[in-house]
Formats: sequence, structure tokens, C-alpha cells
Amino acid sequence: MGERLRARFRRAQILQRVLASYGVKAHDGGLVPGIQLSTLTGEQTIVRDLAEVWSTVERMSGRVVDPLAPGFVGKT
Amino acid sequence: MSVIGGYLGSGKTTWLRHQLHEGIFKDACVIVNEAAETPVDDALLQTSSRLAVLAGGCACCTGKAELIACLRSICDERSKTASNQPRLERIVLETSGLADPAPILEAIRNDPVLVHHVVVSEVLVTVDALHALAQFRSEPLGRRQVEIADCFMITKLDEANDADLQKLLATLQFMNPGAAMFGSIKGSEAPLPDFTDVEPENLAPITDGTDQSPIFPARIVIDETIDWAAFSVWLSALLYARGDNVVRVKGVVRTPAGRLLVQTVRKIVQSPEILPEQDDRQDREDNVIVVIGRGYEAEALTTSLRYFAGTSA
Repeated sequence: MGERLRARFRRAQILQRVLASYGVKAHDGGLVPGIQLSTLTGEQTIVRDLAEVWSTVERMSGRVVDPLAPGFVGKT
Repeated sequence: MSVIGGYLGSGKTTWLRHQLHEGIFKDACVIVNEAAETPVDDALLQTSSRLAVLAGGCACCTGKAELIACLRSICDERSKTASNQPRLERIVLETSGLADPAPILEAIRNDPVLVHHVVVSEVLVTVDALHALAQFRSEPLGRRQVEIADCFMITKLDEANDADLQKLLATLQFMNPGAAMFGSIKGSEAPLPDFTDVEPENLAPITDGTDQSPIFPARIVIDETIDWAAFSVWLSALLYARGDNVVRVKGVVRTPAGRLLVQTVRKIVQSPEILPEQDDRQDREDNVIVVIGRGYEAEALTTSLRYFAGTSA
């Protein structure tokens, strides 16, 4: 498996875990460019890059993305 | 590319002129930007081998298009030079005293041509030993210039008294602890006094709606449990959410592709650069990232990064 493809799968894996708390699923099959995002209610979209992931997740989940929010830094 | 910034009259041209006279930046192309319609500085800088003047508009706002056009033509010309000929390897941009360097860096980053040709290696900010403190008290611009600097050049050392100077140095270190400091008198290097026990000036917040608590550097160690993919996802989320308060991120990360120099200014990530295995600068540590910003706790950065990498306890 190519280095580039491996990196894409790894990136999707990280996003999958991080976005779980937002109720958003991330998927990158490696076949088409971009990252697929979907919600539990069935909304689906494909974004081009990481920068677009965050704004799209905010729109889909209706919540503000902040990696330094208590949920991410071990405080609740 | 080196960017020289600093407040109006803080000695940018004097310093640059002296460096040119000494033969530093000799082969560089010097771009001078002036906010005023009538250029003066270019007359002072004739010793440089190549000089371009952008008058009539500060490059961070009204003169941005002109700056981009100028840089593009320089890149074009360089691309046309045969590879066995000496090619232009350095650009020095002297900004106008009214410029905030951040939008300039952003403009270069966002330009489809320049992003592949220009790497901003340092932001040097001249600080007037006589007037800087007064400027910091009232001018948000003066503070923004200080916060973005990699390196300070304290000018007019001979004109300020020691107590004021120590106060200024302590204040600068408080505002931007990551930046190196040098002193100069009329462009020649001069020693700075010791200021270890001096209290920084207590700068009252300027009420223009932004968070004015001091920025501080945080060191993040990227150990073997944190891979490049996790780091890049985390950094993009951090800049997306906190870009206004994360002033600068800098460091070298080891990736499968090699040693990568990562640099960001506010929300802009400069295209990462692969460094040679043996860097001539031994002082740079690998796998340590310095994040300079405000509005969060230093430990939160590491905890959050570990969460992204899936290695949190």
C-alpha cells in the first residue's frame, strides 16, 4: 500500500474517533479524492481537505469545534 | 524571504542600510514598501544590488496587490534563469511602519504562484528603544508587530537610558518570550543590558474587542506515539478554532518523508518544507513544536494532541 494512501486511511481513522462526539462519521475509501462526512440522520457530504472538515462538522452538528474544549483535554 | 517590520520611525531602513553596507543581503533583492506616496527610503538603500520600491499603499492592506505582482515578477525572472547561472536566493521585504506583517504572510501563502516559490524564513521587527513603550500603551498595531516577530532588533540604544531600556526588554520578553533579541546603534550591533530582575510594564488592554492577555510559548514534544497524521489533523483543528489566538506555531517534526519544518502565522500554515538530514543549525531540536498564543492553558495543548493521536490515558 502506498505511503500516501496509508496516510489518508490513518487520517480518516483519527477523524472518525475525534468526530464521534459530534455525531459525525468520517470515511475515506481512498478511491475518490476528499473525505466523506455523514451524520446519524443521513446527511452526507464530501469535503476537500481538513480545513473544510471543521467548518462542515460545525454546520452538520450545530456545535462549535474546539480541540481545547473540556471534552478533549480530559476535563468534564 | 526575510520580512523586516517595526513601527514608524523605529529604524528599519537604518538597520537594513547598514546590513547592506556590510555586505549582508548583498545578493538579495530588496523590496521597500512605503505607505506614503513619495518614496524616500530607496534613496538611502542604493547600495543593494536589486531594489524595488512599492510606494503609495501599505502592503498589508491597500498595496497588497502591488506587492504580490512585484514578488511574482521576481519569481518569474528567477525561473527563467538557467540553473547553472547564479539565481536569486533571497528577498528582503522592508514593510511600511504601518504594516501588520501577518496579512502580508497570509497574502503570500494564499497566492497560487508565490506559495511554491517564496518561503518566509524570518520576521525581524525593529523596536525603538526610546518610543516603543509609549507605542505599546496606545497602539494595538505596535503590539501585533511584536507578537509576530521571530527576532527583535532594539534600535537607538545610545539614546535611551538604562532603566527605560531594561523595562522595555522585560516587557518585550513578556509579550513574546520566544523571540530572540539583538541591540543596535545606527545599524551596528550593540550589546543589550541585563534585565533579569526588571518587572515588565503592565500594559493595559486596548479596548478594541480582542483578547489582550499576553501571549506565551508552549513547548510540545511529539514523541513516537504521536504520528504525523494525528499531528496534522490536530493542528488544523487548533488553527480552525483558535487561529486568532494562536499567533505562531514553529518546529521540526520527523515524518515518513523526512524532517519537516512546520510554521504557521495566525490561521495560515506555510507549506511545510523538507529539511536536509544534517541541518547546519544544531540548536534546533527535532520533534518539538513551539506554540505561541493566548487564551488557553499550555497543558491543554498536549492533552488535546494526545486525544487526537489516540494515546491519552
